[in-house]
Amino acid sequence: MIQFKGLVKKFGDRIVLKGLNLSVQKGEILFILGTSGTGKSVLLKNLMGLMKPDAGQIWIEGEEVSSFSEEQYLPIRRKCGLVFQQPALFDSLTVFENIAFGIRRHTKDSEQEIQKKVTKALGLVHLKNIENKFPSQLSYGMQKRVSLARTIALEPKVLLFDEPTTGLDPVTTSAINQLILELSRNLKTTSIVVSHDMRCALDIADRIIVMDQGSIIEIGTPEELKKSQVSLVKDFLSEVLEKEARQ
Amino acid sequence: MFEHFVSFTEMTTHAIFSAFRPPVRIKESFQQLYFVANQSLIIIVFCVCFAAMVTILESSFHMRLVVQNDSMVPGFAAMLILRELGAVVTALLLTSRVGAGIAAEVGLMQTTEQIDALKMLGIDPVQYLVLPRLFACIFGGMILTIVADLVCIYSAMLVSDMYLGFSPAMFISGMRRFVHFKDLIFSVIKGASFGVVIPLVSCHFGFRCKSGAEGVGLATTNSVVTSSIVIIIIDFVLSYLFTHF
Repeated sequence: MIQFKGLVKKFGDRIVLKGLNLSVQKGEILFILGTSGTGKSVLLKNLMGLMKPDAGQIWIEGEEVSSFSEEQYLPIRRKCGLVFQQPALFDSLTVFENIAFGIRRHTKDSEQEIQKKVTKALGLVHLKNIENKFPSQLSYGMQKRVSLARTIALEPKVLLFDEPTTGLDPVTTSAINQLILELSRNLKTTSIVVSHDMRCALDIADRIIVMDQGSIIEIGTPEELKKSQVSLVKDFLSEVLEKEARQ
Repeated sequence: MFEHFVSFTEMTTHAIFSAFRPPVRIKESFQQLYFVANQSLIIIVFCVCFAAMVTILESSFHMRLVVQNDSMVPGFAAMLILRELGAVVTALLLTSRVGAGIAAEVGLMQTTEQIDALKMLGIDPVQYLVLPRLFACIFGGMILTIVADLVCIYSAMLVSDMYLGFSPAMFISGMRRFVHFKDLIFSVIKGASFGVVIPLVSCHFGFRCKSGAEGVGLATTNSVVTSSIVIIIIDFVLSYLFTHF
């Protein structure tokens, strides 16, 4: 469904993605792990046309999109949802307006239907009665959940998460991981999750890739990764495995 | 520098083309007009008042010094106010108040990924953010320039009555010898032109804002400095053109 072929992205002299090759299957949950600054978020932004690659190709459902204009990207972005690293909520709009913003843009739903969709999306991220609040009146964790609600309210076919659970409490983190799993299994949503959370990746991912300095250094199912001999993968795994051993 | 010029031209061209595409953002445009015109009114009236008083006092002082006669001061000052002072002082005040605000707001939206979020929701950021501000600054600039001109002339008239010995009737009579309706039109054209500069330059620096407080601060400073320079250059060009009419 999604394919990266020899993707290269540079910022000045610094090469962030070094000829990356990757395929993502429909309905798959793919976790991308790696230390900070290895190009994980850049990969997602290239996929959505928010950044342009310096070389290589990006294929989405049989179309090569890397040279697409903003106009050409519109239908692709309609099918995809990106949950940003930061909440990225519009400060001047209430929670309701933030979530309804995209629904109004893409559908001809009545106000009653929009109200239902907003309430449902907020319910999925365990939030209620905050529709009339402004983002500045919410905690960081709540803002992140509203951001997730805004994305899933549009029922995208592909969900991209850029560190969705960073800064959240363990209960909400678990709920969001469960939500990713449910969306993928029930609605056949394809999910790409950029994360540092190896525990979560082992629990819900179909495949995990580990990136280092702009390249993929390991790829496989959670079981395959547990047997990996790559030192960075071992480092990521050690904390989780030690915790399991203690329990 | 060249890179800035290219990206500014791209954004401006995009803004012009997207002005003719739906949706027309009427609500946002009037919200911005309220911010630009209504909320800037007091500060502009206050500042241009003093600028006009200084202008007429200095004109009188120098005319007395050089030609030993200040009878032409009302007409000279009124023309200077209409052709220059009202529009330029208003624009520079708008740059520091509105331009800085736009650059900081758009810059913060850029650094907190709100601009990317707009794109992901299928909204054109230039159409959503630049066009309402452009509309507001053009019309706000025109309205505020007219108000500033009137306030300037009124305050100059008060000062000339109190300190220079010209009654209001003498002031108006002197003013009518020099000033014509076209001078007010020139002033409004300047106000509209400066109104184009402020949001375009401010949004340009906002869109290119680097992350962090320093990045937002730099974008704001650059936008105010660049807008001010461009306004002064455009003022020269327009003043030169208007001397032919």
